[in-house]
Order: sequence, then structure tokens, then C-alpha cells
Amino acid sequence: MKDVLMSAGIDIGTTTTQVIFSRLTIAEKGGFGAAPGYAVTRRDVFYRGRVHFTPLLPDDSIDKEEVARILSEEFESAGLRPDDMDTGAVIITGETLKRANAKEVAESIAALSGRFVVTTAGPHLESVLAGKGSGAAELSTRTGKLVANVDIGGGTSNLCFFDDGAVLDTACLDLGGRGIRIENHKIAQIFPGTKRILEAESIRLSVGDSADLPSVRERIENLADVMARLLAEALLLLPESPTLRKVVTNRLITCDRIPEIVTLSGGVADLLGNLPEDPFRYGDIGAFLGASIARNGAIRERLNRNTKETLRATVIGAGNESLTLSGGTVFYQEIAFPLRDLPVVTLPMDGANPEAYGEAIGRAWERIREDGETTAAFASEGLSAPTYEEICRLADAAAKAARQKDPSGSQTWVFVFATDMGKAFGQAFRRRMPPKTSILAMDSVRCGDEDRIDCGDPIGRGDVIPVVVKTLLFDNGERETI
Amino acid sequence: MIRRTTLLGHTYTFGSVKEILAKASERKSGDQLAGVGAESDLERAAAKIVLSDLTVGDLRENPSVPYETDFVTRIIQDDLDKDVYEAIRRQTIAELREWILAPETSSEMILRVSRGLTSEAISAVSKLMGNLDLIYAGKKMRITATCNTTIGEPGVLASRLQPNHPTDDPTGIAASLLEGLSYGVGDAVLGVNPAIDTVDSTLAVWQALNEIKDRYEIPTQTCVLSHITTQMNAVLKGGKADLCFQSLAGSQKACEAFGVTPDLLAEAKDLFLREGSAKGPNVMYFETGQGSELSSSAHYDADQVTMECRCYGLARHYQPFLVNTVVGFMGPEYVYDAKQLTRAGLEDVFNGHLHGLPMGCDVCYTNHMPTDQNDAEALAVLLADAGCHYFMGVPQGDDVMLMYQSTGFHDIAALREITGKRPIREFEDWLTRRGIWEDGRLGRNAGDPTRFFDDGRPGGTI
Amino acid sequence: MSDDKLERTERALDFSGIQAPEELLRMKRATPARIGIGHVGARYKTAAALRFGADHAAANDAAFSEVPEDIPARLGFFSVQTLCRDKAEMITRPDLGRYFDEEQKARILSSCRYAPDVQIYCGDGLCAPSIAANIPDLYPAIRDELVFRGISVGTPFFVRYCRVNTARVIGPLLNAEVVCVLIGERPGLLTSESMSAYIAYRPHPDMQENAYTVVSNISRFGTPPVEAAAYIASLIGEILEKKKSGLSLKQNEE
Repeated sequence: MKDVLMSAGIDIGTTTTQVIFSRLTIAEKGGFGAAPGYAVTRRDVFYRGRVHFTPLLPDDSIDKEEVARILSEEFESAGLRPDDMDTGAVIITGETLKRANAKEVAESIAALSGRFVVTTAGPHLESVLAGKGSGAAELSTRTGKLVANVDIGGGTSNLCFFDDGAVLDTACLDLGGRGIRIENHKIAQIFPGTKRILEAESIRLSVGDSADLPSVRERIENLADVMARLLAEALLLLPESPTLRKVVTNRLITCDRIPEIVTLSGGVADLLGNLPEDPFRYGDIGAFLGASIARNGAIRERLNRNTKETLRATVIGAGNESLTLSGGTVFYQEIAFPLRDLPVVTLPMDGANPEAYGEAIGRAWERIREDGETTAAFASEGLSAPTYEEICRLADAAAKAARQKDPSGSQTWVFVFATDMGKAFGQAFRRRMPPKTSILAMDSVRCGDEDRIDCGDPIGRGDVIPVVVKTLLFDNGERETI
Repeated sequence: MIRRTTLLGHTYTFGSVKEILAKASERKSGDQLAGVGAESDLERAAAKIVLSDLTVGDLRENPSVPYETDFVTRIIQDDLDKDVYEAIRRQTIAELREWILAPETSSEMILRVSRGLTSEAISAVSKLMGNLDLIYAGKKMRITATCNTTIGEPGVLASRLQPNHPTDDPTGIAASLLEGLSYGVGDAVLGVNPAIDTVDSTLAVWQALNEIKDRYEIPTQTCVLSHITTQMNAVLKGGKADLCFQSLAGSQKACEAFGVTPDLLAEAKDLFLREGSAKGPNVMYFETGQGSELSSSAHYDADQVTMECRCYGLARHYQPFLVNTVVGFMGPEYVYDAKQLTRAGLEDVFNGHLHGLPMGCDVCYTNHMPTDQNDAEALAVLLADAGCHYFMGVPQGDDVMLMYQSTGFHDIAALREITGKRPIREFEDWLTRRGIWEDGRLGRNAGDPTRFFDDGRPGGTI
Repeated sequence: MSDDKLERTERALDFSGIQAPEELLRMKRATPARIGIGHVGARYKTAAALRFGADHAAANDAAFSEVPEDIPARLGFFSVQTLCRDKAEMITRPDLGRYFDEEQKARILSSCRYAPDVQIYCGDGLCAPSIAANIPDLYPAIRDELVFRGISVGTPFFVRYCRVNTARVIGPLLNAEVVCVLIGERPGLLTSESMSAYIAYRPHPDMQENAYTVVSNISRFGTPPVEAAAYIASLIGEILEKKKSGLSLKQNEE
């Protein structure tokens, strides 16, 4: 079997667009005679692309053609073609996510290679990927400490708390190094999040102000100090001020544990320290924010500056960490991989009451139809070591519901379990459905309601499905509340 | 050569030296399975009598497998010190036994004579020895070998730390490893039997072992017991370990079933001397066990003690740092019960020593043997006094990957305390600095692996 | 690792004198090995010693006990016996554990469908409890899937004092294209009811050991029987299709 997968990470962020290529080493778990099972054992980034400015059109939408050109330039310079990739994640992050044509752009990139998975999922996933890509998760595993990573991009700051390597909590703020754009020594643009800070803190800055004026510059420094303070508040290092609520993208940290170590990633993480000669070199206030964070006592005393990845944390996270592998015994037939963006519906499963499982499938099917979806992934915790009778009765109930909704077997039925029962259930279900029904049943994957999953081409001996769970789920099984 | 004797009115005649050796062997289920053992205890006694009158020369001239067709025989014969052999070839096995046991015969004298003994001759003398003879003679033999540290110094009882894991998970391996270190185990080697015999897995486990060895500056050796070619390929991919491991068998055919040839062993030794991380000069680690030749139908109607001896004859050609007999691993088909296990353990360690090898013993049993931990513990006590170089240290003696039971971390500490022996010197110093070993017994920090986390967990693994 | 298994080995955890108990728990969760069990001098705490003793007793009992007479019948299997006369002989004489006398062979031949695509049977091997623990879920799940695929399945039976290599006799005897032996594994301390499946394409007396395709560690603590069954059924399908098994089947893919 192929034991190295080529993976692409593509991040289209507020300020920058980045590409990395990595090799994911897949190794078989278990010894002689063990049922198949695979794990990613190494992740080696072997190509780091240039950092490009995210190309925008005058109407503030993403310049699709220019993005495509950047990608083909990077592929060429790495000596690769999109078809060389076995997997890859395209993620659209930060402010860019809010652009009108974000989804369209993502899909056009995905069209480059049938194996790319695409995610336009939100701040939670971005926080997690940046935290893993930066090395914060690993630092937490190694030290056993609560590590918080803050990935400060152009438009947003993504926080992720890792406890012993596991994702404990995330948060996202509309706060970034490009909160104010400077052109020709003048303030050219103030992002909405920044505006709310300015208002709340009564700092007077407007489009057109000359950045060379000492008073304006002083106010910019003042703003940067406030931003650093807000980050410290979001990290639970300082008491929360009313302003913080005004810059929340999705949610704040709700766990009541204070991080022992803070790591920083994103472009601003490279600007910690004194202001450079020309602080507006990047056309924004990133350098001021970096200087303010370095000065902030609350952050400074917990700061670990040896972050493994800074600017490329998110894109490396996307390339290296978005993929999970299903269990090694799965069932599928008549599936055209990849399956993209399947909404997840969780269903309770009780071996003693299989009818309830069937009924739940029926109801869920109705609901996803109402939502305008054609296919969903029915996810359950599953049974640990079920009896054959339980499997048969569950498959009876599921097939009864499925045949009722889909008498001709023309739909795609996807089942996901956390426990090791995917192939058993899949075979049993298949035997009860019309021939040629599209079916995928896999296990060892956890996902929750409102998540979406992508399923790539099977790997190994065709017995493992690479899955990307665009998750709202924390590692401890708790859900993000929106 | 006389191949017949009369005992209690019954005349016993034996067809060959090989048959005499087999029938003189203490009862083993493996020899019965092979159909080569004595049919009665009296026949066994008769065979011993006949064997006692054979000479060292008789044994040399009648190898169990022909010289022409078997590389193990060739290595044993060609490695013989001709001068020593000439001086002792007329000695009978009975005389040899008494000479070894005699108080004026020193370790140096035995080891010199050993160079003139073929494995068959060594097997023969062990068959004339009772269990206490084996202990008595074994105790005075002193054999040292040096890798990063030196094993076999007087008063030392070493241990292999065996932190196996069902899926080679580096975190799980590290957990058992640190626990074992906290009981003072691991001075012979930190050695993992991998569940998955691949280059990548070997590299990953080497890394996990080396990380801990380097981080805590542990004076010991590392090893992953994958197939020798896997380890060689892992070295060629840039990996490092101290010891190169391989299982050996006592005939060419049985070695070939293991995928082993003399050229391969020589090449591996050379590679590890050049590219490995050890100081050396002894960089090989071999494991053996009675019955492995029969299990691959490559025993040539020889008894399993003799075939086991031939493993040692092959092993000594490569000047190993460690050899151990995995005495109860093959199962009850070969070594049936506690009595046979005890005998086999004592024979193997004595015979290995008489080959000049730094001999350890995996005192172990499987769950389909009518044995239990009490039997293993008793044998370990005997072997500790018989000069056994090292034992295995497995968490509570239960190996969760190989699914058999061996000696536990606690057992190593108890055996040292009972016999007044100590770890290898540099390792003992290291243990003492960490408060794990104090005044010849477990110290104040023993049994607490979390003390290793005082300055954080070891990198990446736990 | 299943929770059951974890729980079983965590029962003897001992935190006395441990500087960082949470780290010890974390270590324990990374391995089923018996670590973190404390010590009295250089000996085991009583709880750990008793736990070990109980687990070893279960393993020893599993290896030396007999499959009760009524179990095969309840599964709908008829029973035959190899040349071994009792458990002790079965354990020391692997050679006898692979052959049948003429009477037993005649019984197999007269009771079974001849020349099936697949002949499945089960044997006690080194673990009697594995039969009752796994066969009720394992066998019908394999059978149903094979039958669905249009593969003919022979008449199942139970072999007392069974070794894997009975396959070398049963295959030619029944002229089965594929033989699948479901047999009790040598127990470890954590697994006293595991079984393995040994599958061979046209097994014969001189076949190589590596011609078996093996699925091991089938039990509620390892690969659950129903999931193993689904995997075994797929493997059998593949073996029939490619007309080979074991190492050559695997090499074929690489």
C-alpha cells in the first residue's frame, strides 16, 4: 500500500494567501493478523510557498483568477501538479470568509484536483488548525500544561486552548494586524471590528488621517495597546472589559482555566519587539500590535516565544492536521469519492431499541430534505462489541426507513460510528437494500450535529477513508455553542 | 568408542553419538515430540553412562549436522582453537565435568578450555550435571562484554527493560520504560520487541528509546528486536541504535527459516560497528530457545539441548554483548512444566557460559503451560546464583504484546537485594543520583516514574 | 484499547508516594501494561498481586479447560475430535492435533456438503471459552455475507483438540476451495477468550505456513466478532477471486 500521502495546505486569509505541501506518513497499526488499521505517524512539510497578498477585486470580492494563478505558480515552483496530491485542504479564513464569493472561489480551487477537500468552515476549526500548526498542541502534550495559542492574522485573532494536547476551548476575535490599512502614509481603511474598538475606547482615528502626524501615531499606538489588552482579556489573563464583547467573532473562551503558557502565531507573531524603522512597511498596524503585545505584562509573563510556526501556522495546520483516518474496516459500494460537505446528523443508537434508530433515520432524512440537502452522514456513537442479532435488527430498522424514503435505492446513504462496527453494519444494511444502492459505512470517526464532513478516496488497501471533519466539536466531546 | 552399557541386567546399545546425546538428555516434551528422547528413565541413565566415557574428540568428530551441509557446524568447527583441542581431545566427558567442578579450576582456565570444545561437547558435559552442578560451576565463570557499559563484572546482576506495547505506540512504550527505570531496570539494554516489523516502526521505536536515554543521560544500550534486515535498513535510513538483534537457531536450515546467514550477521555487525551509536566492541544481541529447530523441522534428530548449544557456538563467532535464552516461550510442546523449565533454564545459562557468552535468561512461561509465576520466580533465584548475567524486566512480568509472562521490574530489584548483587556500575551511579537505588536496595524515589517529569515530559513521546 | 481492558488493568493502580498522580494515570492510559502498581520493598502490593493471580488463573483455565459437550450442539454444529486423547496430549503433541482417525473422517465426510466454495469450522485450539464467547456472533455473520455474495458455504462443525493445521486435512477431505478455521488463541492475561481465523486457499498437507491469511485478536476486547466477521467475509471473497491466500495474497497487492 501507499504509505506516504502528498498533502496540500492552501489558506486564503484576510491579508495573505499561502500554500504548503507536506508528506503524511501512514503506517499500519497492529501486528501480524491484526485487522487493518492505519494512523498518520509523520507530517513533514517539504515545501513552503511564498506569502502572497490575498488578491481582491475593486468590489472587495476575491480575485478568483489571481488566486488560481498563485496556486499554479506554487505548484510549478514545487515541481508538482495538483493531480500529484493525495489529499489537501483549502481553507478560507478570517475576513475573507465573509467575502461574497468565498464559497465559489473555494469550489473552483477544489476543481483543480478531485482529491482536495474544501472547507469554508468557521473560526473554531481555524483556531484549532492554527494551534496545531503552530506547535502549541505538541508543546502542551510535551509539557502536560495548558497552552493557549493565539493566531493573529490580518482580520481576526484565533485562540485555542490545549490541555495536555487536547483541544479544550476556542475563541475568535475581530482583531488583527490589518485592522487599519495604511496607504501613502494615510489611513485608507478601518475594518468594522477595529471601528467598534475605537468607538468603545473613544479613540479618534478616521480614514484619511495622516499616519505621519505624531498625534495620529500616538492614537494608533494607543489602539494597539488596547488590542493587546483585549487579547489578554480573551486569554483570561486580565478581567474582561465591556469592549471585549464588541469584538467577538463567534464566542469567547468559556472554560475557567487560565493558560500556563501562551504561544503566538500568525503574521503579527513575527513582529514582537520594538517598532521597526518603518512601522507601516506592510501597509497596516501589525507592527504596532506586535510591539504592544510584547509590552503587555500579562501576556509577556506567560509567553513562549519559541513557536515552531508563526506566519504559516494555519496553512500548515490545514495541510497537516485536517485529515483524520477512519477505522481500517469500512464498507462502501457505488460511491463516487470524494464526498464533500456532507451535513452530519447525529442519531442515538441503542441495541435494545433498534426501531428507534430506524425512526430517527426517517425523521432526519425529512429534515435534511427540508434544509435542501440531498445527502447526510448519519453519525452515532455506536455499540461496543454488538451482537450479530443487534447488528441485524439495527440494519433491519435502518433499511426499513431507508427503503421507505428511497424505494429505488437511488440515494447515497452514509453512516458514521465511533465504535468499531462500520463494516459489519454496512454489509448488513447493504443486504437489505436494493442492489447498487450507494452506501458508505465507516467507524472510528467522531462528529457532531452541524459538523460537515468530507470523505476522500479510500487509501490503504482500499479499506480506510480519509476524512475531514469540519467540526464544532471539542476533543472532550463537548460542543461549541453558537 | 563404546556405545553400549549394561545396567541392572539390561544391555543398552546406542546407534550414534547423536542418539547417545539425545537419550542422555533430561526429559523434555520437545524431545519426546521429536521422538529422540529416552524411552525410559533407565535408558536415560544408561545413555549418561555411555556418554560419560566418550571423549571430547568423539563429540567433535560427530557433529549433529554434517560439516559439508551446515554452516553452523562449519562455524563451530572452524572456530575451534586447535592447540587447546589437541590438549584435551582424549579427556572423557566425565573427566571434563570433574575438572570444571574442581575448586582449583578457575574461570580463566575454563574459558581457555572452552575454546577447544565444540557445542556438542559442551552439551554432553551439561547432561552429566545435576541442577546444583550447573549452578555450582556456573557461579565461578566470569564473562564480560562491553558495549557502552560492561556486563558481567563480579557482583553484578543486570536487566533488560522490555517495555513492549501491543501497537508499538511510542507513548505507551515510554510509559513502561520510565516505570521500569524507576525500579532500577534497564542496565543491560532498553529493548523493545516490535509488534510491527517494519523499518518505519523500528525507526520510531529507536527514536523513542534514544530520546529517553539521551535526555536522562542513562548509561545503557538501546535495541529494537525487529528482524536483522529491518534494523540494517533502518540504519541505512539514518537511524541509530546501540545493539543489533537477531534470533538464532542451531542448524543452517533453522537459521534460514529465520532468514539468517553468516554473511548477513557479519554484515550487520560491521554496519553497527560503523554506523551504530554504541562504543562497542560488542554490539550484537542474540536470542535463542530450546525447541526452535524442531518447530521448523530442522533439528536433524538431535536433542534440543544440543541444538541450543549449537546456537551458542554460532553466537560466539560474533562476540555478542548479550545472549539470552527465552526459555519458556516456545511453549509446552518443547518445555512442558516447571520441572522442565527449571532444568532448561539452568542448562542454557550454563552452556552459554561455557561457550564464553554473557548469558541472560528470559525466565518465562506461556499460559498453556502448567506453570505459574511461582515457578518463574524460583528459577530466577536459582539462576541469579548461577551467574546469570541478566533477566528481563517486564511490568509485573506480564508482556502485553508477546502475551506471555516473564520476570517483573520488582523481581529484578528483589533478586538483587536477596543475592546482594547490584546493577552495572555506571547505571547504579545514575540510579543513586536519582534516588532510585540506595544502600543496595530500592531507594526513596523508586517506583515513581512521575519523578522523571520534574523538568517536563520527555520530548514528543509522553 | 477498549474501556473494559483499561478498567481491568487500572484496578491495581497505586498512587501512594507518587509525586504527580495525574501523570501516572496518563501513562497508564497509554498502555495496557501493568504499570503504576506501587511496591512494598521490592515486592508487589497485595492488590496488584491478587489482580495478576486472577488474570493468570483465567488464562490458565481457558487453556486447560474443555469446551462443554452441549456448546457445539447449541450452535448447531456437530463435533469431531482429532487424534489427541485429552487436553494434555493436545498441548504437547501439535502433530496429533492436526489429524483425524478414519471414523472421524468418515463422519465429517458423511455429515458435510461436499466441495463447497468455503468450508468454515471452529476448534477449541488453546482457548476453550473462545467458542461460546465468539462463535454465536462470528459464524452467522460470516455465513450470511458469503451466502449473499453467492458463495457456497459448507456444513459447519466443531473440532475438539484442534490445531490450525487440521485445515490441511479438512480441505482435501471435503474438496473445499477455501478453508476457514475459527480457533481459540493462546490466552494472554488480558485476553482469555480471543480467537483467530486462519484462512487458506486449497490447503494441502505440504502447504507453507505463510499460506494462511490470519485475522487474530477477535474478541469483545479486541476486534469485535461482528466486525471481524465482516472483514473475514471480505477476505474470503478476495481469496476466492484471486485464488491465493496468505503471504502471496498480500504480496500481490504491493
